[in-house]
Amino acid sequence: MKMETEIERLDRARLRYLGAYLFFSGVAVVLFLVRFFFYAYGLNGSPAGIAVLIGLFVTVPASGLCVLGQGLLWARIRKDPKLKEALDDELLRAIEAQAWKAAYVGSAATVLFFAIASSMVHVCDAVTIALTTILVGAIAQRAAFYVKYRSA
Amino acid sequence: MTSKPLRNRLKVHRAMHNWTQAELARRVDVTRKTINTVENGRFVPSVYLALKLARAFDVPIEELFQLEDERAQE
Repeated sequence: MKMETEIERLDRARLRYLGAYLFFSGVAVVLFLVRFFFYAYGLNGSPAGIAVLIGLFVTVPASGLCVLGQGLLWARIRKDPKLKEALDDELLRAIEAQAWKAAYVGSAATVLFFAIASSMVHVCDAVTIALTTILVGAIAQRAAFYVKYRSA
Repeated sequence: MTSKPLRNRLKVHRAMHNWTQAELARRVDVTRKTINTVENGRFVPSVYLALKLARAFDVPIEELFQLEDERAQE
C-alpha cells in the first residue's frame, strides 16, 4: 500500500516539475526572442530591454532548477527497480515517442518564424537561430508530452 | 494511445476481485494512469502487459481482451 502511494506521489511530483520547467523555459524563450529583436532595433539598453534581461536572469536559472529537480527525482526512481518499472511504463514511453512529432513541428515553426522575421529585420546571427530552433523543438517535445500525459 | 477496436473486461474483473485501479497497477507494476487508459480503451497495451494483467486476474488473455467484431459475434 505504501509503494502504491509512493508511485502516485512521484508521478505527480515529476509532472509538477515538468509543468514548472515548461512555464519558465517557455517564458525564457519568448524573452530571448524579444531580446533578439530589441538587439536588431538597438533597444537592449532601454528600460524595456533591461526588464527583459532581468526576466531572463530569473527564468533561465529557474528552469535549470526544474531540470535539476527532475534529474534528482529520476535518480531516486532508478534506485528502486519496482518504482522504475512502474514510473517508466509503456504508456509513458508511447506518449514520449508520440511527443517527438511536436519537436519537429516546433523546430520547423521556429525556422519559418525566423524566415519571415528576416524579411522585416536584418537577421544574421546563425548561431542564435540554430540554438533557438533546437531549444524550441526540445521544449515542444516536453510540452506535448506534458499535455498528453496529463490528459491520459 | 490508439482508437483500435479492442474491448476489454478489466473493470468487470477488477470489480470481481474488489481491486481499485491503483491496486491492479501495483500488481502489474504500472501507474494507475496506465490502468485507467487501458480500461477506457484509450491505450492498447503491449502483449507483455496484457499477459501480466491476465496473470494478475488468473484468467486467459482472451477473457480480458477481445476484438470488437469477436464481441459482436457472441
